[in-house]
Amino acid sequence: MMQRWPFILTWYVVFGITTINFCKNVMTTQRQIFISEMFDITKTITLSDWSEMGYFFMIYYPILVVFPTSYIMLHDKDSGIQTYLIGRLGRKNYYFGKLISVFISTFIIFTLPFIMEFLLELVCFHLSSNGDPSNITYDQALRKIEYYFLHDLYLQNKIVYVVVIITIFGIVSGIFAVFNVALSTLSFMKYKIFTFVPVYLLLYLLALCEKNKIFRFTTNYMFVLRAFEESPNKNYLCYGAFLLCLIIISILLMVRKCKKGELK
Amino acid sequence: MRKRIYIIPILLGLLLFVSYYLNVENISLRSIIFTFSFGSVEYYKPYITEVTFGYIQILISHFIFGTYIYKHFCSASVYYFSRTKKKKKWYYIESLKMYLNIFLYVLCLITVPVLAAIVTGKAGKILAADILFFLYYLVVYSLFIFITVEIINLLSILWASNAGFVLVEIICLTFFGLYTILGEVFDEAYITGHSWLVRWNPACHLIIKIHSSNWDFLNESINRIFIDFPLSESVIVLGLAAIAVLFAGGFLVSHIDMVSQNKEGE
Repeated sequence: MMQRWPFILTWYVVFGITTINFCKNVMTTQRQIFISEMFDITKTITLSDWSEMGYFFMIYYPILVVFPTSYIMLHDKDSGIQTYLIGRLGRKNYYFGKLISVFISTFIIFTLPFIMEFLLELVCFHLSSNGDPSNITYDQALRKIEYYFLHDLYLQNKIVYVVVIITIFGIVSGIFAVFNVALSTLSFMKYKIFTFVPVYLLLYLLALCEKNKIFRFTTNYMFVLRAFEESPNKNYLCYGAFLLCLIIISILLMVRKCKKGELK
Repeated sequence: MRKRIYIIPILLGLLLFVSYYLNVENISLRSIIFTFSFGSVEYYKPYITEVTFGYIQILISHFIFGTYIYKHFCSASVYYFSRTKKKKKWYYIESLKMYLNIFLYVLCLITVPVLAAIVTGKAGKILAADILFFLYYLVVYSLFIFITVEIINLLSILWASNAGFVLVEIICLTFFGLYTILGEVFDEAYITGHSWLVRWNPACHLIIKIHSSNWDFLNESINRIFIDFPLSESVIVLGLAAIAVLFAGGFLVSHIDMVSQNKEGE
């Protein structure tokens, strides 16, 4: 799966975005003379709410997250390799093996480039820089920390915090990709193009729920998935439950697919 | 094209009406049109979330019509085209049919919330300007969707449907992203003085509120960023682009090798 061109292309796109963000940070920091002027390195990563490249990345996210793996089932079915693999591995092993490989490959694409960018930032910039990109006073910036996701961990260790945030982002992306692949086993998914829409629609409907005030907390992925987002209306327990529902639906769809093809 | 496909724009229109106007009284027709034409999007970063709300109508149209021409090149294409005498003529007729379907899609999408406002008794007085904005919305959106869908189909024929779709979506979203980041890079006076920053962005042709008009009764409701960006300019630009894409497609279709088609399985 990782040798296929959609995977490689998505890898280059994500890697390109993180590289541009890093170069931009270098250009910004080289103009600053004192460490006290420099921004906190954790707040300038692509996944930070303050990064403009991250902002562009989030526009593409619903499409990029499914692009490398979305039509893997269609491809296997059309090329005939599915019959061969099911014969060799068994239906259950084949379908669940696919889900696991989709999760792992998506996790790699949406984790490694961000980790690499952060490592470069650690090497190039000063770790004791504490400036806030919002340009608000130090005192005000400190008060906003309580709205960050896992703010206790941020106060304990910034580096571990960023690694955890990137890992969680990779896991969430993997779950979206798995859900999409599970949906692509449905009979109306005839063309590859159809497999790109479910996740976009899902994220759109969730954002619409927020607009209609159906939920009292934010459900827009742009506010939930980015680090250092300061809006107080978040409910991480619900987000976790929602992701769990996606996993359960994916597994159920696969079980249904396994049973459908079995001889009675 | 199956008739039941039009349930999608009808449902989408209803969904957007419920989202935006459920608790609003005295709704003017133009406010519905502005809402459906990225009216709440401004050139600052926080407005990117509004782009995702407005873009759904375009994305779903790509989803519905993205395989309209391409599907004939997938299964049994050799047999299908052996019965088609002139491939180029066939392509032009199919493209025309596709445009009519797209026009119907846009019509369903915008008419449903208007009818919903009238039926629920929330609609305000309909003025001449409202009718003109309504017609303008129909023409501009149907042309834009036609161009993008045609490109998706052509790229799908060349490569595969995934490549065409993703490339077009990324380009479209990049243009919207570039507009919403304009205010972060330049100040308002600079943007007003350099209207090409907006006029040369294809996505801006879809935002009716930033256009201008020589007619005061139209101009007073739009021209929000005070630039010279006539409504007629968007119609001409998109019309010419649609013709260019159509002829490029005609050239491509007549030169395509049928035997090596069906890239869906690759």
